[in-house]
Amino acid sequence: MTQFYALLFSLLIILCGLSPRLAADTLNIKLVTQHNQPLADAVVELVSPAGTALPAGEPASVTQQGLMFHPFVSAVVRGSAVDFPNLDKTRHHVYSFSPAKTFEIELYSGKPEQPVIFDKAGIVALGCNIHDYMQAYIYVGDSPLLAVSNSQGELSFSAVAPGDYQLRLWHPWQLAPAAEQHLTLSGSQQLQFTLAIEHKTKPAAPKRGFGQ
Amino acid sequence: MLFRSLRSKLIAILVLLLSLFALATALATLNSMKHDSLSQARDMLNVASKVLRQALQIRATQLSDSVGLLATDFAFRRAVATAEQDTIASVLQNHGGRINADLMLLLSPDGELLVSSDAQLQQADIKPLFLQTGSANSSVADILALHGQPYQLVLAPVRAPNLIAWAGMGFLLDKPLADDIKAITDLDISFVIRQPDSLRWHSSTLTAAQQQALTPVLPLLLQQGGNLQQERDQDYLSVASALDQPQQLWAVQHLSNQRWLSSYQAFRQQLLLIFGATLSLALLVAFVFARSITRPLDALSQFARRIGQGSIEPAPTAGNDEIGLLGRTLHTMQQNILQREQQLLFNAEHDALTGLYNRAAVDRLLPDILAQHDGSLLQLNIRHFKHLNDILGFANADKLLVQLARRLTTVLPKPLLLARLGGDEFLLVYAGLLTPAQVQAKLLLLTEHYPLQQSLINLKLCAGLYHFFAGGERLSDALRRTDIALEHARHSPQRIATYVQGQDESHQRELQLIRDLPEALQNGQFYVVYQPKVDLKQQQCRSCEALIRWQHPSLGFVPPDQFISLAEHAGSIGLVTQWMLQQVCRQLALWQQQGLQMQVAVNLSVQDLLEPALCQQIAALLAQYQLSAASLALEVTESAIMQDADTIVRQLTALRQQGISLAIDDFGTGQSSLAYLKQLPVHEVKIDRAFVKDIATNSNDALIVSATTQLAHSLGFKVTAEGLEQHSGLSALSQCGCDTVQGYYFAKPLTSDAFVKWQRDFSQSPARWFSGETTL
Repeated sequence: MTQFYALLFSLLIILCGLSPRLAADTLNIKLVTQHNQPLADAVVELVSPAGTALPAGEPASVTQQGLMFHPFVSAVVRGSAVDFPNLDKTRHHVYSFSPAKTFEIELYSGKPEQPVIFDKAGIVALGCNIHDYMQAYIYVGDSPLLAVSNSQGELSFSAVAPGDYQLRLWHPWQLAPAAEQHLTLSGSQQLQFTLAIEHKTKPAAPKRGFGQ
Repeated sequence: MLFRSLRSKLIAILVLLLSLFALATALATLNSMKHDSLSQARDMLNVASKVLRQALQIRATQLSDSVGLLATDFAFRRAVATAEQDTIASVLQNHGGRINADLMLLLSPDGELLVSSDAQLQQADIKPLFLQTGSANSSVADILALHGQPYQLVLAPVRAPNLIAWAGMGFLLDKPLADDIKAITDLDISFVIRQPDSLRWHSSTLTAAQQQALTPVLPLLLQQGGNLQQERDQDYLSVASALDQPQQLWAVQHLSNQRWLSSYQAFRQQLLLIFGATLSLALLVAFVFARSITRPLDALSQFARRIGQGSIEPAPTAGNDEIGLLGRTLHTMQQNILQREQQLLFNAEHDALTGLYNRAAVDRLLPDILAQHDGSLLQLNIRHFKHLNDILGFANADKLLVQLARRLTTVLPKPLLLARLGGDEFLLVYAGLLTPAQVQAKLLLLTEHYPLQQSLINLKLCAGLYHFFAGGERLSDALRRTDIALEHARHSPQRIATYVQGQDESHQRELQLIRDLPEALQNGQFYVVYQPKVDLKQQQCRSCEALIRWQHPSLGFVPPDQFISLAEHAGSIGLVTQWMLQQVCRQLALWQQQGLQMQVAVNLSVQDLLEPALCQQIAALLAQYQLSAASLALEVTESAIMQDADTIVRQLTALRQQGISLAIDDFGTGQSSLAYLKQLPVHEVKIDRAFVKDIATNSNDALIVSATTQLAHSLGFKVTAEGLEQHSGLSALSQCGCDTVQGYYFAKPLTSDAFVKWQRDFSQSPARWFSGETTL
């Protein structure tokens, strides 16, 4: 029954999206799992075939707080610098052995001296050498049109120029890489995509020992 | 027979029972013990098998932890993340070395074999283990056979921090591991690999030789899987457990038979020892017990045998049990037997009437006296006791005997032995030689004044006395000689006779003659002689007297009067007469054939005449030989007739009626009565030789012969004079009127042949016999 309502709801959204009364420059995308559950932390990248010039990426940061990376999934455009501020009392040793970006910020506290520049598109798995359970991902995209779904599985692009786009979809737990989809934007649109994932528990800090 | 005696039977039964019991117990115990031991051994093996699995599990966990730690090593992860083949190989080498891994490899998250320390290793080899990883992304461990090597292989995920690879570390199941497990389980262990066509020992705590020995049973062991395998000819009890999924790797654990059997064997040894000791003890107890039964029994048996032999020794002492009772019973029996024996002995040796010793007692007691003393045997006998018996009656006669016996006991000096031999005969034995005068004195005391039925009776006693000397006498001789003396005493006026040396020998000779006579008649020891009787008037010989002769082979010539009177006493005279009549009749028949007419006289005894069948016997003989009765004459003595005149006269009358001539023999010597003489149906009297032989010189004899002849003639008898020896008597006899004469003058008794010859001679010239011209 729930599914039935969800489906109904999705159709309504799509129909709304097609309504000429809405503004044409907003793209709302809803992501669900194969079980039709909202899919959080999913990255959607819209690549313009025209080859849009890369604007300097906004400085992004992946913080460490409560022995956790925040956010779990980040998406940055190629060439962006990402800070890894440590808000915990403990030191962290952030590293990545991913081909897109291999780096290592050895034991530090506070904010590292230099942000890390991600100059190559790809997926970067972040880990902490002294806290194995800490895990985070940075999606380095070719296009600046990048968004990460919220806990409701929703994300939106505003002020997107109408035209043809390649839509890329990624999630760290995806069972298989999703194929790129061609998308023609004309005005505001409401879209929904389904991605099969292996459901996992998000990394969480273990109960503290040592009397803290 | 082995178990003949009670003792051996008892022992055998006890020992057999005990043995059976002990054997059954021992077998049951040993069997259960062995079963227990075996079951314990199985338990031990099963536990060991579980311990092995546990140990391998623990080792897997430890190895997993180790590999897991290794996989999280930052440097290792960094090296793996480089994806450089050489770097990865070296880091594997390096980190595998840290945990002593024998095999190192790296798989992609998809299970693709990236690097391996074993170049031959294929992705497919690892796949079974990789498949176990699933989505858990945690370490897995399993035992695999890789290229013929048993490995405990661990796959651990390598995260950076997402899964970037699987690090695999293999650890060989090798000798040190086997040793470790052996240290835990205390059992030998072998790792065996099953190959398509064979089994291979990989590593083992057993020696090569032990492995060699176990090799044949391995296939069966593996086939039975977890089941125990015990081969009788093996030294081990083994259990096999498959270690991997395809069952190519096996751990075989071995329990030495020696270990689980040793306690069983020790127990068996003890049991045997106990069994042996118990059996020995039982044997001893059985022996002692059996002896305690059989020994008194033996003693009693011996005792009973001695009772049978007449022993009077006391019974062996015994307790109050059944054996004791038997002993007392035997003792009572012994007493009773003794009493009865004494009673029997008394009865056997004492005369019931008088209470004196009897003949049997004499037989028993007298030999000792004869051997030890010089002395006298005195045998007494009541004269005419038969007569007394007749007069007084048996009861009174017995009373008389009792009185006599009583008086005999009072006669002094007391005899050594006093016995009643039987009837009216008593025997007294004295030490010292009694004279007839002493005997006479004793008899005087014994003869008179026996009160019987208000009257006094005197007895006439005869006494035979015999002197014996110590050691020289046999019982039978002494008694016989005493008896002979008594026999003589009966005929003696003093009624006392002492045995004289030699009497016994003549007595013996008489006994022998009596004994030999019947046989001698058959054996031709007897023969007949004939003495002619000459008719004085006609001067011819027409008759003769047959006389019997006995030529005994050892005693020589036996005088007829001797053996005939013996035969009369012994009652065998009938035999002699029969034989005589037979011989004479045969001779008569022979002579008749030869033309010799002769009348032959045969002497008859009084017993012959008392035989009623005599007439028929003679008639039969005469008929048999076809003789006329006239040819046979019979002579009977005067004294014989007198014994039972009536019967004999009747018999003689019958014979006379048959036509047989009869004569009275030895006429003039017997106490004949003239009254009888006139009644006698005889033809002839024969005057005894006592009157004839001296007739020529003795005028009294001539007178007696003359008178007798006249008397006889006047009674109608012919007269024969017997015993004419000289020619000189012949004329006297003629003058006396004798009809015939018989005597040595004419001829002594002659054998038949000689008689025929003499008769022929005489017939040819009888005159010269009467004229006295004959030469004898």
